[in-house]
Amino acid sequence: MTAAGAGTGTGPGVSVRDLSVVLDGARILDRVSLDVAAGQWVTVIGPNGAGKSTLLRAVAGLVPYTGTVAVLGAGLARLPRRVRARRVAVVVQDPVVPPGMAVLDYVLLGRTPYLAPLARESAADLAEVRRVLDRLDLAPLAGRRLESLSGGERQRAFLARALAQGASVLLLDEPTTALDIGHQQEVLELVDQLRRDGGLTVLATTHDLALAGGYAQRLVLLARGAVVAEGTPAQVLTERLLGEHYRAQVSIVDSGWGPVVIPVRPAAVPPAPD
Amino acid sequence: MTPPPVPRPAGLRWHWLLAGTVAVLVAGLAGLALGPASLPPLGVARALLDLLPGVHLRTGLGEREAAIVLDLRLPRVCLGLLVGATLALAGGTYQGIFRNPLADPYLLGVAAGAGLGATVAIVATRTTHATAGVAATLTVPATAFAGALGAVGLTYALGAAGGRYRSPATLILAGVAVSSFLAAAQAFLQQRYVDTIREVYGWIMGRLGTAGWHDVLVLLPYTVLTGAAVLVHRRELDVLSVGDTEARSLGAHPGRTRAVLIVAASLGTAAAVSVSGLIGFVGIIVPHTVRLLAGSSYRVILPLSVLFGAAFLTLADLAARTLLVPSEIPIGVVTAFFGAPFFVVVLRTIGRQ
Repeated sequence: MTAAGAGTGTGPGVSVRDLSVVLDGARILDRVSLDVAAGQWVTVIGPNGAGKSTLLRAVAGLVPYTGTVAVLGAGLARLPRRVRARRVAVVVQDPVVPPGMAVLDYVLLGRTPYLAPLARESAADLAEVRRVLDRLDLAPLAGRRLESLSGGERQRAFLARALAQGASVLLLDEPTTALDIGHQQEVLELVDQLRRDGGLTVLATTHDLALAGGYAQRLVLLARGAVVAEGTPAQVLTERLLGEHYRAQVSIVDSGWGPVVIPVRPAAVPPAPD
Repeated sequence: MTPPPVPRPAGLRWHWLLAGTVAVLVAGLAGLALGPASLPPLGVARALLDLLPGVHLRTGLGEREAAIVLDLRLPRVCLGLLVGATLALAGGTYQGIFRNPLADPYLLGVAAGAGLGATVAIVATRTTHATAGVAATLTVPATAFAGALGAVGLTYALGAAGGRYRSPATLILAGVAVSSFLAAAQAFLQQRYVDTIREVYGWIMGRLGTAGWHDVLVLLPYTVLTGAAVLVHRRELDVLSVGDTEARSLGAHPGRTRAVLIVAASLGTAAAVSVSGLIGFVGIIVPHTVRLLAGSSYRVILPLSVLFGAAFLTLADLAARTLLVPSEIPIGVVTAFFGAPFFVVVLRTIGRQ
């Protein structure tokens, strides 16, 4: 295993083999294969339209696909939806904020996969939710309405709802897109803490190449529905690969925690005057 | 500094349940005691208790007064309670299904379909003058019911035609299109057969005035069926409120839940419309008032809408038959009078969010 970070596991976390997705006759993903070891964080990067979100949705079982997706060694396709929801939790890119709903009630919805059809939450479900709220420092906000929260607090509430599912695999689609740089850091540090403490396996997507290399042990570069590169951040975040697939001019700086991508202007443009 | 109180999960609090029950009792009693012929409320209450098996009370009401209470007002009040409960519950359900606070039984074209069905029946039976009244009484509910279900089916089929791009909004747009078309067909028939315009008009505006036990018995099973189907799914509606993608990732089946609830709410609406005509805005006013006062969870909104919807429509009917004595205002006019401004308020609230 080529993973560079601390806290990486050994067993299979998520295993994707020959995953293809066709939507409206367009092939969005073409025989994608990737592995996330248990307890590892893998981030999928790639230009707009590469299929990153679709990949996450397929792993979550939310779009029809061919190929296999296995979590902790068990194929997901044959599992009932509720059982799957106990193993894989997903935070979509721009979650719906139900008007008027309190944080506590929102996070309680994360217990849905544990309820018998038409049943209500038990005291144990409530206790589990209070534990998650404490863990994410959301307890003081439990009675607040979701729409009254700041962007960072709201993203924590979305995370809490996913964690309440008790799943060992967490899928994050662009978790930092709407956040300022401080809240981006806060959310990513939190997820990494949860990964190291709780053995959570994380598969994320991002456009933010400045942050991508600092948190994931491995990166997967997706372009036009296919995996074009994968490996450690240093192996994937290269001027050649990003130039080829993003058509971007970048320079790579080593931050000490991982490579950081900095966009540069083409050499033809003179530097700005003072 | 004291820590903030630990919040409890959303749920139906007993004091709201009590308030709703009291509202139903007060509205029911007011509907029985008040009217063109004023009766002592205590005597009315005694007359009601007297109906219970094993209870014998001196009511203090004369034979004529007792007949007014038991034969005229009691079925009318019972029908008002059932229609109000059904329409308010259907409105709350549609709002949950479509995640659209403006949704109500009328948005799907249910009302327009029922109106067209009723008009067809009235027009078709108008030629045989001697038996026209009887024939219309028998056929209007049936054709209204068929029209309402046909409209729901059409809206659903059109809304589903969007394929991958189908969304709750698509369904509502389809409902608006179906509704406009059916209303136009209804207006055409109404103008084409001018001799029946009065009768059609009276039905379209809504009325409980001719209510009898027959109407109550026709509606009751549908109200019970709709109520049971919707209330057992009340948590599922909260799950739907986080969006279809998330709902599915939580292990729910949004498509299945939505289909069951559309059928249930539409059946109840069609049954209510077929016995009472078109009474608008109940499905907007009641669930929204409950939402503002008692909370936004469907586990709160739906059961309380049943109670407060029943009370609201009974009071609206009371206003309809007492404000312009000796004539009656159509109840649809009363509910629209309160409902349309309320709709604007809701619209403004959404705009601010």
